[in-house]
This record gives sequence, structure tokens and C-alpha cells, in this order.
Amino acid sequence: MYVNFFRYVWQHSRREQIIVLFYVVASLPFYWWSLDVPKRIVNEAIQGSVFSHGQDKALLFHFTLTLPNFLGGYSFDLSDGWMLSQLPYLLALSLLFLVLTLINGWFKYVINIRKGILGERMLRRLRFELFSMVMRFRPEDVRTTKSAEVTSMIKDEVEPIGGFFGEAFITPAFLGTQAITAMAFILVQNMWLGTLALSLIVVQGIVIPHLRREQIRLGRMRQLESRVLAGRIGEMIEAAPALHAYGVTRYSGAEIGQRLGTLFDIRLRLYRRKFAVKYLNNLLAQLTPFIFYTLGGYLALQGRLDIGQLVAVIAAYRDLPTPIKELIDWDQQRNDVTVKYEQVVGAFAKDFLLDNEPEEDPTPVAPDAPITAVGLRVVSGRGLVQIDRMSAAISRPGRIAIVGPAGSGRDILPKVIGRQITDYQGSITLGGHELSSMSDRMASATMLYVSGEPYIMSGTIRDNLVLALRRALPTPEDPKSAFDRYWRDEALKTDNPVVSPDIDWVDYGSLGLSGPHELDAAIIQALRVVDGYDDIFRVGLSSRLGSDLSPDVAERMLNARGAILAHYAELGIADYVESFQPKRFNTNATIGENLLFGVSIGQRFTPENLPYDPFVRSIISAEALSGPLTTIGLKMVETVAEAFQGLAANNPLRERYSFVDDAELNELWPKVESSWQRGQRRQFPAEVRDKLIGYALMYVEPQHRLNLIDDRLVERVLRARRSFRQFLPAQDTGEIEFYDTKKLMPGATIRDNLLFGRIRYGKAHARDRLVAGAAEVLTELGLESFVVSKGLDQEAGPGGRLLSAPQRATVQLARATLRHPDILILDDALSSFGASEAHMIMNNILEAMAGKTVIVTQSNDDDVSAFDQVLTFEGAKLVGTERAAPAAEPADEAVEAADEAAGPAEPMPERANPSQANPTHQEAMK
Amino acid sequence: MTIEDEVRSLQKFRMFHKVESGKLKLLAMISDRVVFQPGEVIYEQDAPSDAVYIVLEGQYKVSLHTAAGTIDFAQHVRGALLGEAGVLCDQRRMVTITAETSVVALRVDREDFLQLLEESQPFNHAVMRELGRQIMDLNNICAQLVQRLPHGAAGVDASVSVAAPH
Repeated sequence: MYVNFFRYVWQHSRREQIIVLFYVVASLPFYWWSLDVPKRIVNEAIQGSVFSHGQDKALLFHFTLTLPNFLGGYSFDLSDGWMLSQLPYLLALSLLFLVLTLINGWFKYVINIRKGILGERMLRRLRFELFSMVMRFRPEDVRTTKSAEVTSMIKDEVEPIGGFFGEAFITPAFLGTQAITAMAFILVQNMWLGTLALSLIVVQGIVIPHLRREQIRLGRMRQLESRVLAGRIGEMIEAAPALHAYGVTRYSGAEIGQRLGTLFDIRLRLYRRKFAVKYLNNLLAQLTPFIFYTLGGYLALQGRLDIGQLVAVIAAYRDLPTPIKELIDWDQQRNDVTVKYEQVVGAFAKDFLLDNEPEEDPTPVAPDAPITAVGLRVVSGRGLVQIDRMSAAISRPGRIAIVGPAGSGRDILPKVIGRQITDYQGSITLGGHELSSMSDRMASATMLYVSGEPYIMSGTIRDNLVLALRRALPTPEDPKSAFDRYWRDEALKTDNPVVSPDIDWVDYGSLGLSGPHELDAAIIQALRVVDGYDDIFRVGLSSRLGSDLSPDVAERMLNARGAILAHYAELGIADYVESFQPKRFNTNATIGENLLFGVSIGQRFTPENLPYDPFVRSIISAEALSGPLTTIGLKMVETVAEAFQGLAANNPLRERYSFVDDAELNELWPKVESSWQRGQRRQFPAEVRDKLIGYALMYVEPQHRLNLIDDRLVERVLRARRSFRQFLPAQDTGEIEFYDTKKLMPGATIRDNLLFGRIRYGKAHARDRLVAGAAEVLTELGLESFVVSKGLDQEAGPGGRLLSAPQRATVQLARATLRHPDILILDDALSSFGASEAHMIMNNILEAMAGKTVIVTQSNDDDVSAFDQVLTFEGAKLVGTERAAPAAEPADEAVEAADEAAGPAEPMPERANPSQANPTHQEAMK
Repeated sequence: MTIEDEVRSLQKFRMFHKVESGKLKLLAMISDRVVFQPGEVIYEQDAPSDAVYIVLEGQYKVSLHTAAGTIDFAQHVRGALLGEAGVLCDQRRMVTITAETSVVALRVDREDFLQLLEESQPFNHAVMRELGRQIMDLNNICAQLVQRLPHGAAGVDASVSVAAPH
């Protein structure tokens, strides 16, 4: 990338710049004419100079092209013109002026549009180039880069540069020639006035930029200062909990205050300077007309200058400062933008960049090629030795444990092998290729590094699982429509990728799959290995059924409902579910659900909106439910206020009553108390009453256990349910799906559709047993994959925020398992799981990866008997490279050992047991 | 049975004597009341420790499956905290608990239980006291058992678990 801005622009947009310049040149004659015509209107048409000799008609539009003498001096009549009397003469010239204005405007329009397109293309190119550069940073450099800074540079800081791309060459050319044209015009009209105007402009052109230099300096200071301010504010917000804990918020406040003061001072100086320059500029601009009026008027009175000329000069001069001013603006912008550009490009320039990805697939590394380290030494950026001259050979395939205390070489070696650290001394090779210089494509084809920090991107869980598979090299499709062609051409013009991300990038071949239809099965398999299947199945059960079912699936779902209930009866757990019955109150559902007896589809009848809906409110008061529901709500509020006292608003213990918002409660409680003080124990203002009713509608007796539901209430709710259905206005029927045993409810979760009821509270393990029972029936009916795929369709949220920490780790592990790489590196990747679960998952992975290489970090306390080779670190030193006794058929033995380890005959893990790892200590105890 | 009743029952337990009623109410609010029929398993040995139980009513049996057979411990009655050790140590269940009579218990999810320990100092103390009492009981039992051993018998190793896979 060129560090010089203008070279960069010229390099990539030469052709378009020249085209626009051509337009600029073509526009000049018209500009000249538009200056010339007003003069003729005043002089010839209004003052009648062409009619002065008694003629009542004059010749107009008589154009003669006269060749210069050296070409022979011939003259051609281009048009004979018309003889016109004074009024038509005036009209014709005025019309000509109008046409010229239109033509000028059209030129301006075309030039601006082309400039804009040019700028946008360059911006797209620049942004993509910067992004590609970041992607080529070495892992070490990426880690020291602040992502927020890079984002703001790619997104915000290059934005003004983008606007300037189009201006870089065109604006000086356009405005400069315009100014020169106007100047030349003035000079032609009157030498004196012209020289005067010119000298004033020269003064302007020298003085103003000089004054502005300080302005630019201040502007840059402001930019730097505000960048630092933004950085500090971000830092402090992130550290806010700690700042509170230390009680140093006042100190940090003082710092921000001081920075704001500095910023204020800079801005103030900037404003002063800015308006001073503006004042001077305006003064100089107005001074010239003053001279024109006085001097020009004097000359006109003397008869040395005609009035038309004077008017034209003034008109031309009125146009003149604008180009000049804009030119000065352009110069300032140029200053600004080139500095910005150099700064941005400089920030992206690293000494070492990874090579561009090769177009061709490199030759694969043999599956038994060993990893060999010779004199490997890793020194951290601060000069700390992290691995001290180690030499070792890791034979493959095999299971390798890297053991050592936290912070020792154990944490570094996997990162070196996984190419997270490429800045090392000595050498470490895989099948003869130096790891640090392997291309991404080659390394990723063989190995996969998994750390303890899962990278989850926004998108569905499925997207995240499949992410590691999207490494096919699809060929760009031929554009089918004009729009596709335009889309592709634009991408080509800016060196952007032409292959759409929407086409299938999954590399099925390397997975041994024949196509997309086998992908789900592979995902399920991978999820089972990392013990994430049940979780995803559960997520699938709780996701909305949706209305886009195939008729076949819909029918099977409906059948499943009956089959599951029958199966529950067989298992003796049928009474774990309380089904929805039109004439029965469902005690395990909320009062609101009982009232609606259906699933809200739109926004109107959602639990939050229910108490405020006029129709629901009218039903509630018609069935005399207002009083009882208010009482229930009040009781709930009282209980919550008492029990949750002193609990932070986001404490997880509040989850069960999360619908009672803490902030709302604090607002509500004084109002309730003030009503009591007025002696109205049951009379509340409408908004308080609605809130309380809203809470009451969320009440479930067996869950909240406040003993608030009696037969009379049940009676009234059931009556309300009937009237709700009966009186629901016809236009609102689309807002709700009533429960119906013979129909699916697309708006409800799959679980609700299958169980058609609520799971009873008060039964231990009810949910697990019901889910297990349902899973059996669903498998039988072939619906299991449908449910799982619904689960996979759930959003993971930005950074996986919608998933729990173990879920994120599970997704990351399943992603790696799905890839089934030759070498899998698990660098503390199981730290989000509890000890026993981690052990089980590890055994599953070892089993699934039989015949491949797995490199795992383990702590000193872990049982490493299942591994073929154990590399032990003490600090930075490698102290042991024990290898399991060589067997005749190591691969078979590996499989057996894995089976044994993962099988049901596995005793309680002895891990995390210090006495095991330290037998001498135990001897001493005895 | 309402939350108020549950709080009253909890207050009667020795271990919760010093816990303020507000926190006991919180405990009741974040828990589920579960009922086990006689013979129903409350939790199984080697299952994940997903919750803690506080038995309000009923009798239950503790049994340990070993390679040599199943050892049944004495029956227990209400007022006990079940499964807290597994939750605190992030281990699977060490024993199987079966309801003998109809058992009413409060079930507190693992995370909620740990959160509550952080939230309430008196509750934290109550659980610690309970654990301490259990250790003292066990020491007592150990001493009695050791006395019964013949002279020169092999020592025991705390790291060797007698529990067999279930």
C-alpha cells in the first residue's frame, strides 16, 4: 500500500479521474458564456447598444469561426443568425442565459455524481485493504491491537478520506480552471479592475492559509485529545466495578474533568481562530466589491467603462471568491486528509505480515509426520523466557499430554504448536514445514487449535458450529441478472471478493460427507461427543414451533402429542404434566395463561402488555377479577420487597420473580403506601392497579406458594376465559392461538406443542424425565433431528452472549470435533466445565479422535495414564518426555484405552486429589 | 403449604437458628417444593450434583453402592441438608438417597445455592456448621470402627473410594 495519499489515489482511480477531468474541461466554455451573456443582456438588449443607430432589428446568434492567419485565415459561417427587434432580442438572450445555467448545472451534477462514485469505490477498496491487512497480522500483533481502535479506524477515520478521494485531483482542476476563467474574464473586461481583483486574491491566498495553519494544528490536537478521552472513558466504564470497590470514583472523575477542561480549552482557541479567519476572509471578499463600486462607478461615470461591463465584472467577481475559497478549503482538507491517511496506513503497517492466502490448495501434510522441536525458545515481549531451549519429537498419531503448573511452558507450547505464537527462536516443524511460516490454508487443513476462550460470532448456533468447515474454495457464480452483474463488476473494480458469502462454503469433501443433507447428522454426532446434544435438544424443545413446517412434519408433530402422553402413561409419569383443558384451571400455569387459554402471537396479548390492553381490562373488571388480582399482586410485591431486600437488581436469585422489576418496585412502593395512608387499603391509582394486576397475572400457585388462589377465583378466571374467547373482536383473532388438542400452535414452543400442558411443580427430576421420555418418542417418529435443527437455529447472540459459558465452550468444542482435524490442540479448552464433566468430555473426544493426534494441556494433578506421550514442564524448562511403552499396534491400543476410559466401567475420577499425586506426603502421614 | 409455612418449618431446624427470617423466606422463594413418594429416589449415586435438598418432612435412606455390595446407612429424618458436599466440591453424588416415607423437600438449584451462600453471611455459617457437625459425627464413627479393628490391620487410604459405579 502506498504511504503517499495521492499516489494511492492515482494508482487505483487514474481512469475515472481522467474522465471526470474531461468533463471539467468540457464545461469551461459554457461557464465563460454564462458570464458573457448577462453583459450582453444589459448592454445590447436593455440599454440597446445594438439598436443605437436607428435600426429596429439586430442580428443575433451570428457565429463565425475564423481560423488564425497561419492556417489561412479562412472564416466559416456556422450560423447566419436571426434579425430580431429589441424585445425578442432580450427574450432570446434571457432564454440563452437560462439554457446556459441549465447546462452548467448539468455539468456540476455529472461531475459531482462521478466524483461521489469514485470516492465510494476508493473507500470500499481502502476499507477492504485495511481489513485484509489486519487479517494478515501475526497472532502476537493481533493480540496487542485494540480492536476498538482498528474498528474506529476502518469505520470512522477513513470516512472523511473517502469523501476526499473524488476531490483529490478533480476539485483543484475544476475550481482552479473556473477561477482562472472568471479571472480571465474580468481581465478581458477591464485590465485595471482585473489586476486589482487579482492582487486581492493573491493576498487572500497567502494570508488565509497562513492563519489557518494554527487552526489545523489545533484541530489535530483536538482529534488526539478526544481520542485519548474516548479511550479513557471506555477503560473506566469497563473498570467501573473495580473503581467502586476501591472507592476511587472521585479520583477518576477528576481525571476526566481535567481532560474535558483541556479539550474545552483547545476547542475554545479553535473557535476563536476559526471565526477570526472567517471575519478576515469576509472582509477581504467584501472589500473588492467596494473598490469595484467606487472605482468602477467612477470609471463608468467618466465613460471609460460601460455599465454592462461593470455589472458583468461584479457578477464574475461574485462567482470568483467561491472557487478561491473552496480551493483554500481543499488545501486545508488535503492537509488534514493526507495526515489522517498516513496515520491510518502507518498504524496498519507492521514489520511482519503473513503471506497472502495461496489460491491453490497446498499439498497436505502426511498424517504421521511428526512434530519436531529443535532448540525451541520463546521469549515474551517483555523479555521473559517462557520456553527455554527445548528439543522434543512428538510422534503422530498419538495422544499427547502437556503437563505443568499454570504459567509454565505448558501454557506456551500448545500456543506455539497451534500457531498462536509465531515469534520464537529455534525451530519447530510439522512434517518438515516450519510452523511459523506455514500458510493458514496449509496449517488449518491439518490442525485446529482450541483455547479456553470460545470465539462465538453472532448468528445461529448452527452457523457457529459450521464456521470451521467453511473453507471450501467455491468458484464465483456467473451473474444471472443485470443486478448480479453490476454487483460483481463493482466488486471487481475495488478488488473486493466476488464470491458471495451466501453460497455454500462448507468443505464437505474433507469431512467425508457427500453433501448438505448429511451435515446435520455430523453435527449431532459432534454434539454427542462433547456432551452438548441434550442441551441443544432442550433448546430445540423450547424454541418456537414456527409456521413453516412441511405438512409431513406437522402431521407427525400432532401424532407425537398423543404418543408422548401415552408413553408417559407407560412410564408412570403421566401426572407430571397438567394438560390444558378448556373447562379446567391449570394450576401449574400462570393466571394470565389460564385467562387467555392460548398463545399470544402479536404484541397485544404478551404477558407484559396484558394488563394494559383495554379489551383484557374490560374482561377482568366484568368478571369482578380486578379486586382479587390486585390483592394477589400486592401480596407478591410485599413478599418480594421483604425477601429481596438488599439484593442487587441483577442478582440471579431474583430470576424467579424477574417480572417484578426492582426499579419499578421502588417507584411503585411509595404510591402503594401513600394510598394506605389515605385509608384506602384497596383503592389504588389506575397505573398502580394495572401494575399489580400484571404481577398477579404472572402468578403460579405451586411455584410462588403464597396460597392466593381459591375456588372463587378459579371460577371467575374460567368465566373470564370463556368471555374472552366469546367477545374477542373479529379483527383481533389473529393475535392469539387458542389451545386446541387437534391443532398445532406455531406461536408456542415445541415443548408446549408436544406436552400440551404445563410440567407440574413439586416433582423432582420431572423435567429431565419428561424430556427423556419425549426424546424417545420423537426418535421413534423421526422428529428428533427436526427438534435439534430448531435448537441449532437459535441465535447465539453477539459474542455468544445468549449462551451460557459452558454452552459457549461446548459449541467451540463441537465445532472442533466436527472438523475432525489430524491434530487437535486443546489448550485449557475444558476449563469452563466442572472436573467430572471435563473428564468425561475429554475421554469422549479422545475416543472420537482415535487414530488422530490430540494434544491436551493437563495440570500436575491430572491423571495422564490415557496418553501416549507426556511432556512435563517445570517453569520454562521441559523436564520430561515420557512415552508409553511401545506396543505392537499402537493405534489399536489407543482405541482400546479410550474405550476403557470413556466406558461406563469408569470409577469416580481420582483427579483433583492431591494425595494421589504426592505419594511421599501420604507415606509421611501414615 | 405456603412459603410462610416452609419458613416456619425451616426456623425450627437447629442449623437455621441464627438465620434471619427474611433470608429463610428468600431460600424458600428460590427453591421448589418437591414431594417424593416412598421408595422414590431423591438422587442417585454418581449423578451430577445439580441441586441441594432440604428435607422438611419424612424419612429417607442413604445407601452406598460398592463393588462388594450395597451398604445402607441409618435412616434419617427431617431437618437435614442433602447433597451440599457434592455441590460445593463440584463432584458427582457420592451416595444414593431414597425416600422411605413420603418426603417433602425444598430443592435449591446448584447455582442459586452457591449464590445464596455469597449473599447471606448467617446462611453461610449455618451451612458451615452443618458440615462441621457432619465431620464430627464421622470422626466419631471412624473412631468407633477403628476400635473394632484387630491389631495390625492395614491402614485406610482416603483417596481410595469404595463406591462402585452404579
